[in-house]
Amino acid sequence: MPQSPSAAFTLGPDFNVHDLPSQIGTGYSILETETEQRDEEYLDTFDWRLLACGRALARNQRRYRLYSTNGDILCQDRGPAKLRPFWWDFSDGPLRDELKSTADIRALCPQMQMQQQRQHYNLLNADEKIVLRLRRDTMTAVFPGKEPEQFSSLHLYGIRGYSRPLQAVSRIIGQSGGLPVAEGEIFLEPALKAAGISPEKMRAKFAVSLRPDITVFEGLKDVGQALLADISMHQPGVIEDIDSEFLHDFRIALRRTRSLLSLYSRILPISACDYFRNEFKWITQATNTVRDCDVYLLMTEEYQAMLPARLHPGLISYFEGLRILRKKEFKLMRRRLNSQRAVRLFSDWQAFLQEELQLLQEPKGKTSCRLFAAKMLKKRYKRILAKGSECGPESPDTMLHALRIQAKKLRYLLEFFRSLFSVDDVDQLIKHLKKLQNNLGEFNDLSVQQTMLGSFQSPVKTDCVERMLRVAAALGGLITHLADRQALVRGEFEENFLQFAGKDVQGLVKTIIGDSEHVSREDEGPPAA
Amino acid sequence: MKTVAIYSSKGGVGKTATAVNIAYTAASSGKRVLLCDMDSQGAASYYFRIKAKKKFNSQKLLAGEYGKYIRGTDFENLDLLPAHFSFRNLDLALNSLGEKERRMTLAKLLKPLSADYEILLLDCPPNLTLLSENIIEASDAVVCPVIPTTLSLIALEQLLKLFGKLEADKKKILAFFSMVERRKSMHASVIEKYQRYPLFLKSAIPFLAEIEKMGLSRLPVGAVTRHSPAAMEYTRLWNEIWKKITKQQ
Repeated sequence: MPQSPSAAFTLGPDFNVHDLPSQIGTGYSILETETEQRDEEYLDTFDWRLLACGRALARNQRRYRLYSTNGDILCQDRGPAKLRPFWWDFSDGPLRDELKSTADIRALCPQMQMQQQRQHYNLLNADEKIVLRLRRDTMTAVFPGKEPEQFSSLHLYGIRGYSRPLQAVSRIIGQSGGLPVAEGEIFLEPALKAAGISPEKMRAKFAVSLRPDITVFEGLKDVGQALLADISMHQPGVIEDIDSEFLHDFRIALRRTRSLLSLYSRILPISACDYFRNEFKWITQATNTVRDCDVYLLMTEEYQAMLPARLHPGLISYFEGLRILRKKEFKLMRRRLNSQRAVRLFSDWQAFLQEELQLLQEPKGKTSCRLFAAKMLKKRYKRILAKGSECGPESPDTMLHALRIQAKKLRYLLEFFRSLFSVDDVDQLIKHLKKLQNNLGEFNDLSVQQTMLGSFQSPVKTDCVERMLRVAAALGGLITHLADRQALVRGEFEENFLQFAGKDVQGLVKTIIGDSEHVSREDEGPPAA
Repeated sequence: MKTVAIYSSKGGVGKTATAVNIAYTAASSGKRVLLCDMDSQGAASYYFRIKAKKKFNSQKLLAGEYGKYIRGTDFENLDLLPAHFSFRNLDLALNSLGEKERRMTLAKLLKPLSADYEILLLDCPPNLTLLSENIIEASDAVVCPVIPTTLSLIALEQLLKLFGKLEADKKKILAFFSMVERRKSMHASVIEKYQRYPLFLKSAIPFLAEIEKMGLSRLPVGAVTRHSPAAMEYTRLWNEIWKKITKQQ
């Protein structure tokens, strides 16, 4: 049945397909044509990327199948025996191509076990002509640590020119309590719902919904706890080294927390604030080298494309060295993340947000969070304008890096307190800011890459001169390429900045701040350029 | 879309069996196929267990309102436009049209089907009328089953004459020997004499009980037994027809 079903329903446990003919009218009969039994393990990325693309990947030992939204097999192949494979662990073919475009750099993790019985039926008229095809799926899903869930669905495949039997069967199912499956809803949806799993939640961008009248401290508590939940969600994947995105997301949550602490540095007691700022800085730094290695290793293909083939062996040697370095650094990082110091930090931070914060007597903490956020927004925006206007064509790179950090601070601030303002306006401002950030971010990345490659910090054996020369030639070629690109990106900065500093964006900032305008003058930054 | 008519002015030469079986073979190869049952007797429709809807008739067909009367067969990629008893009057209806348009009516009518189908097969009634002229104009190939007997050869001669009258390209005619019984000396000698003409395809369909039994099973031979001798012969025949049509391009 390669075509899409005309209709699909979730069924109650008592539904019997064999009762249908007598309910439709005289002369009809039903014929079971085929039954398939499958017991498969379903895999998806941590953030359910396959599901978001209407795909489901299942395996039985090393036999992998990729299903479409309605459960039809799109492609199948033998695959790796690894617990959590990546797309590159599969051999060339349609399955590998599909996984590459959907899962990208993420590992495919076991998400649930499912037993499936698939029964195919034909509904025949008095001439024994097929007038409707039916497929009943009975599935028992088992999620780790949860009770098995059973559910059943019926898929109807209409035949051209025979709309009446399709309509009649749809009506009968509806009358017997069957619920139509929404268009585009994947066949696993009932199992996920029953198990309380929300893939959308896993994919959602960071967002906190704050009450409009909350105080400054309540804002800290809500945002801080949401970030801590993000940290806790990604930490196990970092420690297990499932894929590089866990560390990436873990670090974002840490950076956001540090930015939140910096935002509150004048309000919180110095001792507490310094403790958390130092400790979060320490734990972030503990992950720096591993992340750097990840970034370069992920760029293997891109770097290869920048160099002529004769320089590739040198690059391969460099990456080999980088992998060894990562392995070593990863052990160190894991030890730190599992350390008492790290455990204490997270439990202290949790306790601080949950209990200690409300005991603090700081009057500023009891004022309106919206006013505070508006004041900080104005301050940070103006700081970007001031710093950006100082950057000319001859300015040192460090000035652009400083501006990048300011832009990032503003971005985090907007994301923390988005729900306190007009969400559409904030999103619009984020869109403008993102454009500037992309330019500054690429400039910074190119700069960091050149420094890193130039420093030649990889444990490539230095006693082999020939090998060293090969690596040096490859890195030299890369640095030249990156420097050319950086000059181009630098050239694009002015236009990007002028756009962000223009009247439109200034007006947008004013609109967002709105009646929170009475911000005390002493807190404002330098005037706009 | 390629339009292939299965045509002979003589009845009982195996037109419908050919149309049904090559339609099934073509659809099994993954091509989207529509079989139009133009014969008011509706034998092709019967084989597929399909009845025309009550509201369908020749007037609706000629008005181009036939899309909603097309029905899916039991086989993937294969649909059928069922015959209707009123199709026996198609000639009268065509005759009533203006002289210029009446010969091209069918070609124009079938054109929109190219959006949905790659192959259009016409199972034609046995006659030599205005409808036959329409079928010749509308088709990329006219497949003509010929029993290796005198009468059947006469029917082929008549078709050639009609092509001459219409100034149609005779290369469109793809004749093949049908219902062949090798043990009959007449069949053997006719085949020997005529098979070498380029008009004739190399494939021939033997007289087989399983083809006759289609009336009982109401299934194409390939759907009963995928690799039966009859199914293999029809596959060979269709492959040769398809090769000729695509080569003509």
